[in-house]
Parts: sequence; C-alpha cells; structure tokens
Amino acid sequence: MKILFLLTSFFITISFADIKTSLYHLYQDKNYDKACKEGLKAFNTHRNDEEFISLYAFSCLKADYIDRLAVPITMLSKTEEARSNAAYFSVILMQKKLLHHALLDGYNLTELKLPTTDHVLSIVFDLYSKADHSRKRSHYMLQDSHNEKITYKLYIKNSNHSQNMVIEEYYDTIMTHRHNYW
Amino acid sequence: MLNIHDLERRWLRYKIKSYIPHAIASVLSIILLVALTLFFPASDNAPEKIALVETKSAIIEEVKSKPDPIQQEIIPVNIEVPENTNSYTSVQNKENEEFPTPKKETLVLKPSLHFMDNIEEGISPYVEEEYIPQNNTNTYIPRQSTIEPTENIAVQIPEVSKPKVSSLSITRHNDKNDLKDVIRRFKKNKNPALSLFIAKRYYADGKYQKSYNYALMTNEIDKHIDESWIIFAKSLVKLGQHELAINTLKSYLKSTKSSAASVLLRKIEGGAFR
Repeated sequence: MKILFLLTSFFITISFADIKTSLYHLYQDKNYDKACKEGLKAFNTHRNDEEFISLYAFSCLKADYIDRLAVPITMLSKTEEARSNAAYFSVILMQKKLLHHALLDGYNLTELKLPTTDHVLSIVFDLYSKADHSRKRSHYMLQDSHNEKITYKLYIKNSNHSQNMVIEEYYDTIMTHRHNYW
Repeated sequence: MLNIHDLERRWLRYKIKSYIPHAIASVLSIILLVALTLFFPASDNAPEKIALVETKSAIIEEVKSKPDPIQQEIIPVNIEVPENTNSYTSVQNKENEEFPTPKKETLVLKPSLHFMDNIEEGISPYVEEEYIPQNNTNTYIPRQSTIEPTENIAVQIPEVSKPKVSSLSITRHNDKNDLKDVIRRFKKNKNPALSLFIAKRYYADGKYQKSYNYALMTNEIDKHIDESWIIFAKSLVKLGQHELAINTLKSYLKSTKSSAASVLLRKIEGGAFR
C-alpha cells in the first residue's frame, strides 16, 4: 500500500513537471498559441504553481489571448514578481477593454492617464488617446513615436457574431504583424 | 393749545445732537486703526499675511491657467511659503527654486521573467542532452554479416549475389572524423545549421575558442538563430570575456525578445553562469 502511494505521488510529480517543462519548451520555441492552449487544459491542476501560471499567462499574452489573462491576474499574488506581472497584465487587459469600448461606443480616452507597458496594445492605446477624434473614422493610422517607419492600423472588424479589434503593425508600408483581439 | 409740530422738531434736534459724539468717536477710532496698520507694519503681522495671500493666490491662478488636471491637484498641496518671507518679490524668486515644474513621464510597467530561471534549472541544458562525447568508433554491422548461419545460407545463394551481401555492411563513425565531415560539408554549402551543430559539439567538448568561432560564423550567416547567440555568449564567458558576453546579449535582446537569451543574461550578470 505504501509503495503504491509512493509510486502514485512520484508519477503525479513527474507528470506535473512534464507539463511545465513542455510548456516552457513551447514558449521557447515561440509556439505561444499551443503553449496557451496546453496551459489552459492543465490550469486547474496547477492552480497553486505561480511559475506555471506566469508561463501560461505570458504564452497567452504573446498569442493575443488577452482575455485569458483575467484569471492569472487574480491568482498571481504570492511573490513580488508575481504581483508585478499581475499589474503588467492588468494594465494591458484594461487598455484593450478601453480601446474596444472607445472604438465601438466613442468613449473618450484623451483625459485618461494610465501606466503604460512595452506591449503593442499599450503603444496603440497611448497613440490613440492622443489622436484627433473630431470626426469618426473607419480606421486609425497611428505613427510610432520612436520610429517613424513603424505605423499601426487600428480598426474594428465586423464578423458574424462579434466585432473584433484589429491592430496591424507596418514597417515601411509592409505589414509585419496582425493582432486580432475579441 | 400745544404746538405739536414745534415740539416734535425740537425733540428731533435734541436726539441728533445726542448721537453726534458717539458717531464722531467711532469714526475717529476707525481712522486711528487704519493709520496704525499703515504706519507700523513691522510691529504687526498683517502686511505679511497680505503678501502671502497675494503670493498664494498668484500661484494658484498660474496653476489654474495650466490645462493639466494633475498639476492642478499636485501643485497647491506642495506650496509651503517660508515663514520669514518679508516681501512679495522674494517669495516669487523662491517659488521658482522650490517648485519645479512636475514631470509628465508616465509609469512604465515591465514584465518580470525571473521565474523562467527556476523552470530552466529543472531542465538539463540542451547541449549536454544532445551530445554525449564518444571516443570509440562504433561499427554497426548488419545481422546477416554477424550471424554465422548466414554464411551457410549464402552457400545456397548463387555466387553472383555474394559481393552484394558484403557491400551492405555500414560503418558509422561518431568521432572526430564525423565532425570533420560536417566541417567539410559546412565549408561547401555554408549551411548555418551545420555550423551551429559544430559550435555545439565543440562547446560540449570544452573547446570554447572553436565553438566561439563557429557560433560567430553562424551569426554572420543568419543572425536570427537564438541557440547560436546563446552558444556564442556562453563560449565568451568560458573564455573569460564576461563583459563582452553581456554586451553581446544585450545588443541581441534589443532586436529580439528571446527569453532564453534574457535568462542567460541574468545568469551571467548574477554570476550563476561562469
């Protein structure tokens, strides 16, 4: 009986380590989408592991699954690093929600003074809040404040059941990345 | 008959005359007070108070004229006019020194990836995983050649087929000759995957100068290979060039957001990797 218990606990430990390791390798290989999905599957069994939650959250952030950050934000609280990352994620999540609200409902962002991050959503949020909103536009072309060759196109894409917010990154008129947020 | 009108007029005169001394006394006292306050400012704090009120109102007006709402909130709270101020101009001069314009910089939050170090510690490094040095030459011979009964079978086969059987023996080398072959292939086609392989092999063998050279060549061919930069930096550290390794990784991280590179950088800076 004792041996059975020891073996079970050993295998559970091994399987836990394996998921985290595989998630880490997926993240290192820049396979963020898969890492986020795998992390979501194993999330309930790793609720108390902040390293796992952080890794999962960063994978989802890189894969543009911003809404999935909501749960890690509430759970990252034990260490200073975890709290710092939780604050980082919450700023990005809030800016995404505010941008979406502003684009769809005309909410005024000009008077808001929020912390910023290095994430593309924060960059676009800052540029959008400074942009001219005197007339309604179908899309916004926002020029990066540090590199004039970089521009961001911000618009709402209407699909069957949802209105997605899209940010396209351009370098010298060539699109380098498209972020789809819903 | 009593003359009522005449009596009333006389009573009014009498009343007015009775109030005159009180009125004169009160007017004189007011004039006296004003004169005292004007001619003896040093003995009284009232002028100083007026000056301070003027200064504060001037500053508040100036603050209100600015459009930034944060400044409106912050500046009046910070105003502390010194007690020994004697004139309005001195307050104005000190105001410029003591109340610099607030910075408009916004707070920038950055992600913290230190937890990756702990995860990586649980995983053995990929270089050791991939390459186990083998000094002996392993010869792999097909079953037909190792099992003796095959010779008996071969007897039954026509003589023409015999040379074909002997040509099937494959010899695989995992020693220096193998590496030389890869180097030869690399020199021929300049494939970065080959040079990276060579760099890893040399690094695993402890030949850090050579691994540095091949990682450098890989970086020159393709500067977007993460592993190559990591081997390059690791080799530099092993060669005692810590600063150069740190600078290389920092410049690499400017162009990419490689978490492996940032983890290695932190390890080198923290002295965890030597």
